Amino acid sequence: MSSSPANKRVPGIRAPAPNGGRGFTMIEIVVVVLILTLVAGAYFYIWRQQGRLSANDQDVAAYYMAAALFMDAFHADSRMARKLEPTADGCIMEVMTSGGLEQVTYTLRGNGIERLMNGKTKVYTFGKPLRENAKVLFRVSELTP
Amino acid sequence: MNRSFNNALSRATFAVALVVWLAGGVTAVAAEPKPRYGVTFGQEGNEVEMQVVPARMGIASNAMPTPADPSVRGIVAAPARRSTVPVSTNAPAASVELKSESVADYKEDGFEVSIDDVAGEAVSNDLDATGKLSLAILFDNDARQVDLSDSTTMKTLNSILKMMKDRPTLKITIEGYVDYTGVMEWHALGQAPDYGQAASEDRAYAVKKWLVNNGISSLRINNVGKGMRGAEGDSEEQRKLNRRVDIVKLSE
Repeated sequence: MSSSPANKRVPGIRAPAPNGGRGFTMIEIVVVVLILTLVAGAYFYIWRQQGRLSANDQDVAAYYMAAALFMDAFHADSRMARKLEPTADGCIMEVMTSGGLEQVTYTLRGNGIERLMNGKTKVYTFGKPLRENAKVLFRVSELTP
Repeated sequence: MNRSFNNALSRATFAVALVVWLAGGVTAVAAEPKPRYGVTFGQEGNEVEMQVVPARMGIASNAMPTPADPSVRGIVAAPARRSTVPVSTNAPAASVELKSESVADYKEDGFEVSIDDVAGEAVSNDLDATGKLSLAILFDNDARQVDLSDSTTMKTLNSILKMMKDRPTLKITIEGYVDYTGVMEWHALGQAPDYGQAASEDRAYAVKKWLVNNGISSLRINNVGKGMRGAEGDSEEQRKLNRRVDIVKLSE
């Protein structure tokens, strides 16, 4: 049961590593992982911020595009209107068309504005709320000269 | 003979009466004020206001307004392009003193300020001396458009216009500013953090647009928003001065 002379530990001489001196210690690996985590975290933060900004810009652009479409339709109707009557939640226009005198009704409906003419409806929506819980408004009132 | 003369006379009288009646009717119809309606629509906090006049077919003034039209409020102007030209901010600021006629004089004249009446040379010399000028174009809180009904503003704008026309190779940067209080108020109202920055950009853009509309090449004018940078002091007068526009000489 006596150990062989080759396996005897000699004081002051370090035993060779089992992998022949290559590889990394645990501390080195932990430091590298920490650095990589920090870098990845910073990139992720920037990426998320940019994503939010981009999404916000898209929402704003979509909102004003929808607003422009509504304005276009409303102005086209008002140009042909003989009479405009404000109501509690919108307005009614008497419009002279090739088919005679007709009514166009604009009404606030939930999160959009509905245009009704000849039984056909079109709802103008304004996309995602740009501010939290922002409701859609629609008011028509006669201006004093 | 006498009878035919009477007939001709009565016909002529009738014709004249008819013409007078028609002219009166047309005048009355033309003078009749059309009702105007204010329309507010859109999401709360970002609503758009516009004015419409029904039954104004074929009248150019009733065409659909552009976002920049004064009758439309609420549409945010396209973000101004960021300046890619380095601008020195170390140049000392100097105020434009309106040395000649008083504001009251111009008000009496119905705000008619001719380009020949303004002190363009003084502005030009001041810009050369300092490199940067604070313009007498002040804005109300939250205002983004130039108040063209203000005689001081018009006089200043015409001064800059005259200078730009007199010096066709001069290039400038227009800097817009907002005051600290306004930014805090907007923040309290829930506006986005960059609302003040956007407002300052719009102010600079509004001045640039006026100059471009009056014949100055847009390539000669940069516009940047400075937010509330450079704002100092907390008095009402100081805050008012901070809602301003500066011009910086770029090159010539």
